[in-house]
Order: sequence, then structure tokens, then C-alpha cells
Amino acid sequence: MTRRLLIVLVLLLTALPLNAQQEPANPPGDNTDTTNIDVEAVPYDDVNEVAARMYCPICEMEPLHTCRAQTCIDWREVIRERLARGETEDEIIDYFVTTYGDRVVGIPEDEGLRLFSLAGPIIMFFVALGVAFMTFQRWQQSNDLVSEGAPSTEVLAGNSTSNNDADDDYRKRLESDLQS
Amino acid sequence: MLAEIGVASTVLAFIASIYAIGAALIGGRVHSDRLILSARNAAIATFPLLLIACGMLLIALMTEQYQINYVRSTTDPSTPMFYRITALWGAQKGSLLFWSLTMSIFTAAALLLSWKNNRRLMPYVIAYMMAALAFFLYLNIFMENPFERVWLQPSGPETNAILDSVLIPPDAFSPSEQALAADARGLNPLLRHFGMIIHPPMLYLGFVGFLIPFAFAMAALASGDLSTNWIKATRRWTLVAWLFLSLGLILGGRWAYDVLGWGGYWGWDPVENAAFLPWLIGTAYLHSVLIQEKRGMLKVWNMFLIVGTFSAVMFGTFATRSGLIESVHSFARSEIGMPMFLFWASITFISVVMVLWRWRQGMLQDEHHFTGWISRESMFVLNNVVFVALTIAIFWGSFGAPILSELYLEEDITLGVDYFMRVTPPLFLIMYILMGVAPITAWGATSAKRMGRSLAVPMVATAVTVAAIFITGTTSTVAIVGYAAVTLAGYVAIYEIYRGAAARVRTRKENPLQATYAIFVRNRRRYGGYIVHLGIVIIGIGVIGSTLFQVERQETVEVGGVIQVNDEYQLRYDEFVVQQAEDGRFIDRAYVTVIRNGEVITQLEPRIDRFVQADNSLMPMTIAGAHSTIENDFYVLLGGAGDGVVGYDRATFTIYVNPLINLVWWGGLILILGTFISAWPNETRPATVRSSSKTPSNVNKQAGALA
Amino acid sequence: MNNDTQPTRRGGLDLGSIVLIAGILAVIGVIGLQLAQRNETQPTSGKAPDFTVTTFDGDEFTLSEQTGNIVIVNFWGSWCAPCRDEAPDLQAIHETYAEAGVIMFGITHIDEEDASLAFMEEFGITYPNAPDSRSEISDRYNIQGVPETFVIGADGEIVEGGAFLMPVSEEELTTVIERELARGAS
Repeated sequence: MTRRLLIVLVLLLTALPLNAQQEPANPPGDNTDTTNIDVEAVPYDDVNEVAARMYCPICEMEPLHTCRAQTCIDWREVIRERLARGETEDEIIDYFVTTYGDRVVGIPEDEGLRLFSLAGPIIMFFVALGVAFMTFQRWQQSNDLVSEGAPSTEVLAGNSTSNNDADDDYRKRLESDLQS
Repeated sequence: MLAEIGVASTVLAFIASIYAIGAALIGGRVHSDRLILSARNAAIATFPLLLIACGMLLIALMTEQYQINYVRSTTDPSTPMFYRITALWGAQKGSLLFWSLTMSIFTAAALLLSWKNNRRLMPYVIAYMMAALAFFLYLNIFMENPFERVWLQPSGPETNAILDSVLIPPDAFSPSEQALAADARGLNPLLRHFGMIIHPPMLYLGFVGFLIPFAFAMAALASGDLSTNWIKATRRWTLVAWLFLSLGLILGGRWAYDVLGWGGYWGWDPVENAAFLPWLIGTAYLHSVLIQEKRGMLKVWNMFLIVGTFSAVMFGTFATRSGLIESVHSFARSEIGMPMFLFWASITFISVVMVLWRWRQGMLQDEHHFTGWISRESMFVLNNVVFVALTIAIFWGSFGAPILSELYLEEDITLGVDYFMRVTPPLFLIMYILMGVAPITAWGATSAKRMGRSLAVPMVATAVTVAAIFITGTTSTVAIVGYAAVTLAGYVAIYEIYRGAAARVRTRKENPLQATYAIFVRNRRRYGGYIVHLGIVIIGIGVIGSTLFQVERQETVEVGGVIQVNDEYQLRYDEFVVQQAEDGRFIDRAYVTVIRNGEVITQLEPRIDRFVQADNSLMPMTIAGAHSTIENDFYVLLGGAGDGVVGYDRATFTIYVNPLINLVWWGGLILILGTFISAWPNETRPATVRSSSKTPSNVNKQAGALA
Repeated sequence: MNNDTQPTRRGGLDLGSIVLIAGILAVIGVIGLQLAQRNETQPTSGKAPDFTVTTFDGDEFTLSEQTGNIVIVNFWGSWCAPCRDEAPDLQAIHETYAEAGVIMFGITHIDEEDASLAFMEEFGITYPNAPDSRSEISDRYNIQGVPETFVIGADGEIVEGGAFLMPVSEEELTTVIERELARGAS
């Protein structure tokens, strides 16, 4: 029963990340006029919001919105122009991914690659959980076995607070040797 | 002269380490105490030898010996003395030597302090530690030698060949002082920060510190003494290593925040993660060995954990120094990649095989029984699950998936912040929940009722706190759940301290202060641990605040104009000046005023420093102006990311409001305090009394005769 | 001594151990492979890596189909300052040697199409260029930056001294081309 509860709890918790993405950290930007193709009217913040999802193609692992390379500056300009033309954030990201590949975004847009990226840790988490449960079961089994019989091995297993573990080991081995 | 002594010293240390390996292994085999002692002395001797070597390099840096290539590449005539000293670990060659010095300090201390109590393990301990040291010294002598110098050698009537060599080639002479000084490159300005002084040494101490428990664990496997002796001998070393690693990570974050100008402190960059992985496994190990000490359980798993920790350390330093993956932190590519890879691969493989070997032999059996689902044992197992899951998730994101995609898939993928912020928060949440629940469970079984009673007060406190947070305007579900878990863990820690002190006040009639002091002194490990947890909790609050509620605004404004940052804050652009500092750099400095709800809070001076390079180009470095309070950081950058305006009439500013971010640093301090308390020696009877008449080596010889 | 009654000495490996060891070897292998690949540098001799691209004009170009002609492959980007210095030289080489059958071919590296075309118009580039925005060809040649130029002989192999990992001048290219043409004639 507890096991099942634990599994349910774990599954519920892993659903949390779905919520994590819906919280906007910034208040919405000022860009409301979509017919105006004046690039100057596009605030930095809107450009940064798109650029924050991307990575510099020539620097190494540098987010696009803080990268100072000329290519990055040019790309932010491209983002700005496209925003001024009225494209949405997703459309702009799509353009860059189609042209330059999934390597320019922080998590692949392609469904298959995204699954590949996220599946790894999720699978390993449940594998780790499975190993933990197997450990609990093994402990419980050996618990049952001991409580059924073999009293002599219990005598020396004794005190858990003993500091002389080396001594315990020696004594146990000595006893079992003498018994056999 | 300096270079010659430096190289000679390093080579002698290398020879000493190799000798120590041989003498220790042979001495262990033939039971020659004299040989083992000799091995120990050789191992300890590496410390003064490497101290001399590093000293020589340091003197060379401080006295501007530009003939040495390393001095030329990390300093120039305008470098202040402070950064001359820190240049010792500023680039690959020097930092490798410094790493070896750190290793020799730790190994010498470990050998001196643990000598008496662990005789049976000692030969193997010496062998493993010296093997690691010998490898790094090999790199330093034959591949990345910091004492390499530049020479001119006549190769024709008018021409000279330029040679790089450690020792003097025939007929060679040194280039002129002026030519050398003119060629000096100096350190990257980004490295000229307080963080540079302390972050690498802290990280190295952390990484290298884990060598000690690893060596002891391997020695336990090799010698067959698989009692908890090796764990007890290395408990404090583990804590010390963990402390330095934690410090190194926090300081790295602080350095990034101050200097790199993107308003954040952790970018999930592969090199950052490479240092985070050993911390994660190390924390799992730190907790898991408690079960083995108290209950004799999870022996095999702990072996895997310490192997995993040290493997992660070696992998981390290999990945960073070899250019394995793309990262903003990468060292310059070098040829030590392959040797480091081989070293990492072999110690990982060999160690795992050894653990499996002893496990198959039945020498790592659990001693005690599982008594209940709700028990401290099961909490620790879940703790292991969470940390292992985090380790794998982060390894997959930084290394596994990108590398596999680069090798085998059509498309290269990048996994950055978007991936990590999807995958790690649930796991961190479980970690904090465990941190709240585990301390109140007992070894063996705990009834749900008893647990409920112990949790009652902290849960009420948490509910009140969360209600207060909700009422004051924070309604996001994610934030509420996060704060709830984190504060629960905090309240549990506080409550447990309170309960311990209260018990003493009741029974011994001590006053509260005395009682609190007493419980800390009598059980440092436990109560120090609560303080560490408290530190983690405070860091957690800071992280949630600064991640979920960060406000970013970038705008160009005229002089005298005002940027509306959010509902409360405004920034007014007052003035702009261009200055030049005594080291030759140009400074573009903006004066801005922070206004909150109409009131002036403070004035800040965000600026751009432009350092003149050897080729007369300018290297810019953005330095933020920041106003720090417990509530938040108001953080201003000048100029945007290279495409902003910087000028007398208009300027572009990027403003960050980072709520609660200073809790991250304060939490770090509390964490350090807690670890100190935990690691401080208890006033128990001296260990020598306990073990003098019952040395395992004597006892087991007799057992061997009987078997 | 033990808390289970099963025999504790087991000969050989069980499934779990084999899986673990195999897993570790796999991880080590992949990391090693990656390291070896990262250490790969530009080809300076031997068979030039083949590629097929669609030029800006819409034509398809396959390197291996050009055997019999000398091909000069130049990687560039409109955002790259040294590429601007180099462009007139490359155009001059094209004009001089096109009749002799030397093919000049440019490949853009992470460049927006509009910007590339504008660059070509600015420098009066008439030889064919193709975009490699997904960096597939750049990866094959292990480009570390732009500009980089590779002179490929009529046999499909990179000529000696024909790998320029830096901006190249008209003189340097002329030297290599003349030598290669002479070799072909003999």
C-alpha cells in the first residue's frame, strides 16, 4: 500500500515541470502594434525573450541574448526585424531551427530529439526507484528469513552501537569457523 | 635558476611518488614495516618538494621572469602584483602544478593523521594516492611544463631559431628583456576578480579532497579489511572535501554574477555541471555512509558511491581541460586530453571491477535487518535515489545526449537552461521534502503516528509561512510548492535543535543558551548537520526567489530620462564620463539613480572597462552597478550585449531585479559554519586507546591461521 | 555472520555485474570516441571530404563529380571581417583561372541568406556559392573558424600546401594553382 502511494506521489511530482513553464518571470513587453514595421519600436526585452531560448551558433554554449559576438548581434537584429514584421516567437524559433538546425535552441524543437533528450533522465529515475524498491524487498526478505530460524547467527549480530566493528567481524568469522 | 630548481623539484617529487608506490606495495606484500614507513616518508616528502616547485613559479611570476613561457602568457608589465600571484593557477600549466601541490598537501596530512589507526590499509592507501599524484606530475613534467622557456638559437649567419624548451639547448641564449616584456600577453580581464583568487583553489581542494576517502576505500577492497574502519578514518576528510567543493561552487556562482554581466549565477554550462556532479554524488555518499556506520547496511552501494564521486572528479577535470565539449569555461585545447581520458577510464573501470570482486566474494554483506518502511534507512535510500537521478539527468544533459547526438545522430543537439529547468526542479523538490522528513525518522522503524507528532510543529510553521507568502501576493503554484518544501525542511532543522535544547533545559535545568551550546558540543555531527541543512534551505529560498521572480528590462534612454523597470522601480540616467585608470584601461562610467515608489534609493555606477591588449585592440569587460539588500539585488549593466548605445546623450541599460538573491550567498556562509561544526573533533576518548590492543592486523593473522 | 542463508561465494559474474561492466565500458567508449573526434583537425592532405549542396542559384554541386578539375573550396561568412579582405582576391583568381578549368566554390558558414547575397553583390562575386547553414560540410572539414580555403587537385585530393586555415591572398593561391596545373600537364 505504501509502495503504491509512493509511486503515485512520485508520478505526481514529476508532473510538476509542466507547470514550471507557464509562469512568466517578466511583465509583458510593450510591443502591441503588429502592423508597424518600424524596427526601432521593438523593445530589447521582446528580442531578449526570444533570444533567451537560443544559443550562439559559433561561441561555445553562450546564450544568444547575452552573447557579444557579431553573429549573435546580427541574429538578434534578425529577430527584431521579424518581430517588427509581426512574427510570433514560435515562428521565429522555427525559422532558426529549420535553417540552422536544432543545435541553436536550448532544448530540441524536433519531437523525436526532444523525446530523446528528456527520456534519458526520466527512465533512469524510474530505474533508480526500481532498484531502491528491490533493495527494500531484499531487506525485508532477509528480515523474514532470519526471524524464521538460525538463532545462532543472531547472537553475534548483536549490538548496532558497537564501535569495534573489526572485532565483531573477527568474532563472527571465528564462531562460524568453529561451528563448521 | 628558478626554472631549473622548479623542474628539479617537480621531477624529484615524481620520483618520490613512484618509489612510494613500489615500496608500499612490496612492503605490504612482505609485511615489512620498514619499507612501508619508507614509502610513507617518500609520499610525505612530495609536499615540500612541490611547495618549492610552486614557490619557484610564484617567484618567477612576481619578479617578471618573462623568459618563462607561462609568465609571459599570464602576466604583462602592467599586471598588478595581486594578479601576478593568482596567475599561478590562472592557466593550464600552472593550475596543474598547483593541483599537484594540493594533492601532496592532502596526502601528507592524511598519512600523518591516520597512520596509527589504519596500519593494515596503509600500504594500499599510499599506493593509490601516489598513483594519482604521479599521473598529474607526469602531465606536468612531460606535457604541460610550466617552466618551459623560450630560447634563441643561431641557425644561420643572420637568423635565429626560436625554441621552447625547459632545459637550455646547446648554443642557445635568452632573448632580450625588452623583447620578452613586449611579448607578454597578460591575463584575460575577466579573470581579474576576487573570485579568481579563491574559486579555483577552493574547487581543487574539494576535488582533491575526495582522493582520500577513495584511496581508503580502494585500500579496504584491496586488503580485504571491509569493516567500517575505512569510513571512520575518512569521515572528516569527506566533510572537508565536500565543504571546499561547496564553497568552490558558490564562489564560482558569485564570480559569474559579479563579472560576467548576465544577471545570473548558474548557467548550466557543461563545465559548471562537471564540477556539480561530484558534489551531487559526494553528498549522496556523505549521507549514505551514515547508514553503514550505524547499521552496517548499503556497503556495496557506498563503495559504488565513493568510486562514483572520485570518478566524477576525474571526469570533471578531464572534461574541463581537454575540450571534450563546448563550454564558455574551456581551457585552451591541449594534448593532455587523451592521457587524462585514459587515466579516468582506467581508474573507473578498475575500481568498479574491484568492488564487484569483493561483492562476489561475499565480503560486502549487509549486517543488520530492515525494520520498517518508515525508517531512516529507507529515507537514506530515497536520498540516494534522488541524488543519483540528479547526477544522471545532469550528466545526460551536458554530456550524454549532446555527445551521442554529435556522434550518432544526424542532428547535433544543445541542451541548455530549458532542458535543465524542466528536469531538475522536481528532483530538487523531492530532495527538500526528504530533508524535511528524514531527520525526524529514527533508525529502525518509526511509526507514522510518531512521525506525525514530530512533524506537527514544523508543518504548522510552514503552513503559516506559506499563507503569508500567498497573502502578500505570491500566488504562483510552483513558487508556493517550492517555498513550502524548502521552508518545511528549514523548520524541521530548527525544531530539532529546539527540541534537543529544550530537553536539556527541562532535565538539567540549564538556561537555553547553555543548553543549545551543550547539545552542539556533545553531538557535533548531528547538530552541525542541521545547520548545514539550514544553509541549503536558505540557498533554496534565494534560488526560488531569484529564478522565478527575476525581472529583466533592457532599454535605451536619454540623459536625464527614466526607465520604468516594473511597478515599483525606476532608473534615471544622470551622467556619463570616460576615464583612464593607472593600468591603462579606459573606463566608460555611467551614473544612474535608483528610484523606488518615487523615492531615491541609491546611486549606482555601472561601467565598461576596456583593457588595451598587446596588439592595441580593446578588450571590454562589463562591470555591473548593484544595490544589494536581503530583499533583492538591483543590478544594472551598461551597454547591452555589444549592440547597445553607450554615450553622453543616450545609453542602453540592462536592469535586473533579483529577489532574495543574497540569501544564496548568506546560505553558503551558514553551510560553511555547519560543516565546520560537524567536522570539528569530538571530545571523545582518543582513538589510540581504543585500538592499541586490538589491532586488526594481529587479530586477523590468527583468524587466518584458523581458517 | 550473514543474514541470509544463501551461499555467499558465487563463481563468475551474474547478470547484474555484466550489465554494469558493459554499461561502464559503453560510456567510456563513447567519451573516448568523442575526444578523438574533437581532436580531429582540418584535412591538409588525402581525399577531400565529399559533399553535395544546392547553390544560391539553385544548381546542385557535388565535389566528387568535379574530378578532372582543380576545385578551390572557400569557407566564409558575411559577418567575418577578414573574409571581406579576402573576397577581391578570390574573385580575381576566379576570373584568371576559370578558363583553365579551375572551379572556385564558396560555402557560407552560419550566415543569413540575405546577408550572404548582399556580400556577394558588394564584392562582385560571380563564382558559385552555397549555404551550409546546418554546418554539415563545415563539420566534415573540421572548420575552426572562417575564412578557411582548401585547394583540391584534379584527382580529388587536397594538394600539398593547399590547406589555408587563415585568410589567403591572390599570390598564395596563384602559386599553388600554377604548381598544380604544371603537375597536371606533365
